[in-house]
Amino acid sequence: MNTKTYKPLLIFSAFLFLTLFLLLPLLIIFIGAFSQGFEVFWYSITEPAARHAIFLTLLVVVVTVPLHTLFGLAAAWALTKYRFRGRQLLITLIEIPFAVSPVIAGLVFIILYGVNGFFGEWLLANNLQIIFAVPGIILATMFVTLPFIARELIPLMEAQGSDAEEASLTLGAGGFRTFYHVTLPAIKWGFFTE
Amino acid sequence: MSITITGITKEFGKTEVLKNINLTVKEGELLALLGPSGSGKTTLLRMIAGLEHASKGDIFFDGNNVTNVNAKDRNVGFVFQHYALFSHMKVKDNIAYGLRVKKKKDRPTKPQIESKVNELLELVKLDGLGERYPSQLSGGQKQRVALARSLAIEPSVLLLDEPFGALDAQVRKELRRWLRTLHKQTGVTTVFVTHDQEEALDVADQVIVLNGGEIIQEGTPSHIYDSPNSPFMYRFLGNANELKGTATKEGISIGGVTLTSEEPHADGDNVVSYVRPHEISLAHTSGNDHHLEVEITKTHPVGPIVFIEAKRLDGDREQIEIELTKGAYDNLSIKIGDMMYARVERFGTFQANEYMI
Repeated sequence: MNTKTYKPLLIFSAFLFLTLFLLLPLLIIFIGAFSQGFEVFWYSITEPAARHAIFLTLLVVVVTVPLHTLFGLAAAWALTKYRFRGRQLLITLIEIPFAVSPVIAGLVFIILYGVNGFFGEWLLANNLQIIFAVPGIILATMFVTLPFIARELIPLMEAQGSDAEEASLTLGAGGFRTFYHVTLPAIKWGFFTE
Repeated sequence: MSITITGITKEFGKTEVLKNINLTVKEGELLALLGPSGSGKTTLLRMIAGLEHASKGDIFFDGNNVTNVNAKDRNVGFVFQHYALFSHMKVKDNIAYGLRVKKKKDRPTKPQIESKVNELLELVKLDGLGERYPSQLSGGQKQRVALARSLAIEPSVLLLDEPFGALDAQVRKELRRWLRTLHKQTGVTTVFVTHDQEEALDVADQVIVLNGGEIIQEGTPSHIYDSPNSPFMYRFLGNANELKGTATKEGISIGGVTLTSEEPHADGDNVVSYVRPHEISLAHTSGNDHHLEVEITKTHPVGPIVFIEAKRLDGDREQIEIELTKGAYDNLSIKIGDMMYARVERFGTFQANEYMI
């Protein structure tokens, strides 16, 4: 087979896969939502419970994304531009949430912050609720999504090396300028995928 | 600006990559740091730039100690092997970078920056390519942009780390001649690192050869080439025949033949003489000089040069390599199996135990 015949075939199979596993489920949801007409849909999403759910989701996003961006970037920067003791350990730690099942992660949070948990008594005494509350949702989301930004950026930054940063340095730019003008633009495509 | 390095030592963990290096680069000089990989040459260059820090020793620019000065404040131009251009910036923005990041009071105005960029584009013969992105340029063009970028800040020294290493042979040769001309035009003190002895000898005013973190030899290219000071130098500068022999009062005795030598060696010492393949001539008849008798075993003409392998007919019966010009080869009408006399025109002799190391 030459390129002309198998190129459309490959493109077609990619689209087929995406349709089956991504577009179709989304479509079903939308069809379901609007099946009884727009008014029912609007009523459903404006009732207090739904509004609260939407608000909660947005809150979680607003809290976790900036935090992850900050930590992920810092971690990727440290891991790729410097060589230090414990570097390998740090890489492994960042990967843990990928390896651990979300169910186990949930259990761990209950063991740590639940009523009978490790910090349970202290939390109770100070009238703080984490599990089955907003902080718990944020914590769990953060745990599960922790590796995303760092994992996305590490290979990218590794491939880029530190030559460009060093060039910037010898041209008289300090650390912050170098980061802003050289490192950040080079990795922005990595960020967009998040 | 002159560069003086005193007692520089660098350890990475337990390995010493540089051992007590002392050297001086004179104002306006073009110096090559030459050495095999792992010789410490790049580390030394990065230290001059401030990208690496010495475990011991000091670096002076014009007599001022800059050992603890940050890379960003050293005002050096650094050119990387793989260009290190800012790929998201246009060529003209790459070149202007060093000027734009200057502190407000030192920063030139926008028109000044623009005219400087155009001037540099012209200098590196890339006029009209300022609007391109680095990915739209060839390797040679990229490296010239990198050079223009480093020259924009009017550096006091220019440092190049294997600048032509990633380019193909043709471009490489063109660029290195061009670097030589550029250096004449700008007069900036320049240090470049290379593992290619031909490149170093071709381009530099002064060459420093490093191996295992130590300076092995330094001098002008012709001095380095004419009088290698060690077996390492002979081997590193190109292939050389190694002839084992003994020192006598008259000279060096190799396989029953004595080569006259002015180098002092104790009588009876085991020595090794290094002879370059093109510094041997062949004859069908024995002259008045001392000759090694050889049998031609292989001839291999490559363009203007003929590579010849021959077996010594004395005790050692070792193979030696000889290079003749096509003209000399044709005049002698050499055939495989011929018995000939090989006359050693030049050689360098060292203690055999030096060779063993």
